[in-house]
Amino acid sequence: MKNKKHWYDYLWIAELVYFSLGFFNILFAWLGLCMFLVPLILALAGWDKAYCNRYCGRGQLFALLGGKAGLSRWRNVPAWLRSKAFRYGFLLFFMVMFANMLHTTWLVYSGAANLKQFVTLLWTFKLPWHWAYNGSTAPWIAQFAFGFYSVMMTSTVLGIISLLLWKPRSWCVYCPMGTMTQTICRIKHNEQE
Amino acid sequence: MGAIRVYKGLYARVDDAKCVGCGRCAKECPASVITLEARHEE
Repeated sequence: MKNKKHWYDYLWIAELVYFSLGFFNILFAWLGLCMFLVPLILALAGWDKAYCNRYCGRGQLFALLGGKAGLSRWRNVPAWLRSKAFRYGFLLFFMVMFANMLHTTWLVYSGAANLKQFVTLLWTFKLPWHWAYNGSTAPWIAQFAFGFYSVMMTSTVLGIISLLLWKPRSWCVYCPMGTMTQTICRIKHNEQE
Repeated sequence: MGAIRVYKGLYARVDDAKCVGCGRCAKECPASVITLEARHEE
């Protein structure tokens, strides 16, 4: 029995639009803040993991690439990947790298550093991206955009590697947003019990 | 749909009365923590 399609089943298109827009103008990267904030807001508002379950365009994209496009090997994830230690450890790592990105933005804002116009993939590979900034805003706004786009691209690449190695939505097992959202759910439901 | 639900955003729970053992949840589960077990009819 085919499930009826809803508008939120097409949010994977928003992911593709996001990355395309950011290729031409890096300032669009700021829109990605929605993908950071909405999951947490929904969980705090009592909708639990509704974002993960229904609205995450990233998860939908991975399900399509891994499932319909046949890229996934459909192997079980290793036990260490779903352990609390790895999931919280990865969240901590992600937060530290994010704080580092914010620090770089601060340095540009305060004039202590120049704007660095590249996208950093997997925290290691610096991809030239200078065509996407035309000097239309203060440099720190662009620096944040480059940094945020780097984070989004890195997590997408990790998700793609995960779907190639294991199951389509393997990224969801250790996604930092998922770990944070689930922590909010635990705390909220503990308070009620 | 309807035999399996996520409980309070924390983990999945199966409604035993509705589950027909199709195995889709076990196949899809990203964390691979769902297994199918034979139901012993009395």
